[in-house]
Amino acid sequence: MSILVAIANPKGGVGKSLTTMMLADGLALTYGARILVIDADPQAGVTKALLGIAAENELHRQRIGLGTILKLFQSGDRIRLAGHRVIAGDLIELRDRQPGLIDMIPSNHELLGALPDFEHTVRKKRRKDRLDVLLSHTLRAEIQSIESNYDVVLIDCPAGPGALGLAGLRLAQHIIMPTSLETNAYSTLTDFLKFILADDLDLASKVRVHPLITQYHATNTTQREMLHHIKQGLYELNAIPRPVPYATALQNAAAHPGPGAFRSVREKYGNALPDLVAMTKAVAERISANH
Amino acid sequence: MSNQVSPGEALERLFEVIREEAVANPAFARRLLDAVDVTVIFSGPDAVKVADPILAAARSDYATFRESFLSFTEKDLKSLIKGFVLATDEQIKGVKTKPKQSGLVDLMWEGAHRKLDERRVR
Repeated sequence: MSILVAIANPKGGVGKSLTTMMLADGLALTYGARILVIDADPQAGVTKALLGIAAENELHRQRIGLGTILKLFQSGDRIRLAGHRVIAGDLIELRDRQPGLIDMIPSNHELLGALPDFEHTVRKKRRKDRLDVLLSHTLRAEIQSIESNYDVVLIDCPAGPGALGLAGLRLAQHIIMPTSLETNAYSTLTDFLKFILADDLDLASKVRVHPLITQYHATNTTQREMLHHIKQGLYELNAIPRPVPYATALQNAAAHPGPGAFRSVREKYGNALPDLVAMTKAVAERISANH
Repeated sequence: MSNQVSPGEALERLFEVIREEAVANPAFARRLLDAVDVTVIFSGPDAVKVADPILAAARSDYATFRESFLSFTEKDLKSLIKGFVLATDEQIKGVKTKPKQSGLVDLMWEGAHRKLDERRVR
């Protein structure tokens, strides 16, 4: 049975897609893990980061991705995740290493339009179900049919309070919650954690939440002070202690020039490679604790 | 000259740099000590460099907090309040107590608790 991990935060621009890409690469390369990435974000950040913009456009043209899956569902088809998997691990070390691999269910902007249509269709049939509950049930059944192929399933949730994001939370056993230490991002994080802990979604007993500090500026004294307090347990945050720095190397790693462009993980991550390894190990320790 | 050193020598050189930095930089020394959960009382000019009103407010009661900070000069207290953004300039100017330290420490206590309340998850 695989471990289901949602990467979620209702605030945009905090590094969800970058974190998902780093975790996929890091877990596959460090542990030889078999990873399935489900891009549930219409912005397709992790699709672009793992495959490149040209590949994202081509997959859209070929009608491969979560948006197409939802559209097909409306016309009476089953949700078939398996048929929409694409190979996303293109680093030479990963191709040469067994059994480590990265597959993904890509996304594209089609998902933005597909979701309201999906809602309209299900409302006609099952009026009482919440959309996020229905989505999570439907996706769970499909994930279960392919999860024996994977050690970890990563779900990159979209920003905002939409049904896809909530469905991702319902599917997961662990939620990695990237956040920067900028004031608005941090307050969104605490509000979101309170929302989950308040148990409105009946999640509190089912998932473990692991905040992850991203875009960390070590030269910013306010951020350094906050990180110190977080590590000292002042805010009861249970955050992953190692922050992901704000680094040009990570921005470059996420700007995928196309298949085969990066030959090695060192070439892809440059001087941020130690941060990739440290973050991967810290997350792996958390998500493997109950498995 | 050879670049090859034993692992012990390499570690010794590394720790020497850390030791020197800790002696020269009290804030760094405090972070090291906090990491291993050791309490050390800093005094003299170093005290203001390592003082962390938010940490102090979280870990002590009002009386202990006041006792810790009342010995600071007015200038140092204002510098701490501004450094940790615990009150506005107007609020600092509005302190009329005699001595001023008393009112500034109270302002710092309120500001530190406001920050804790804002940042705590529960």
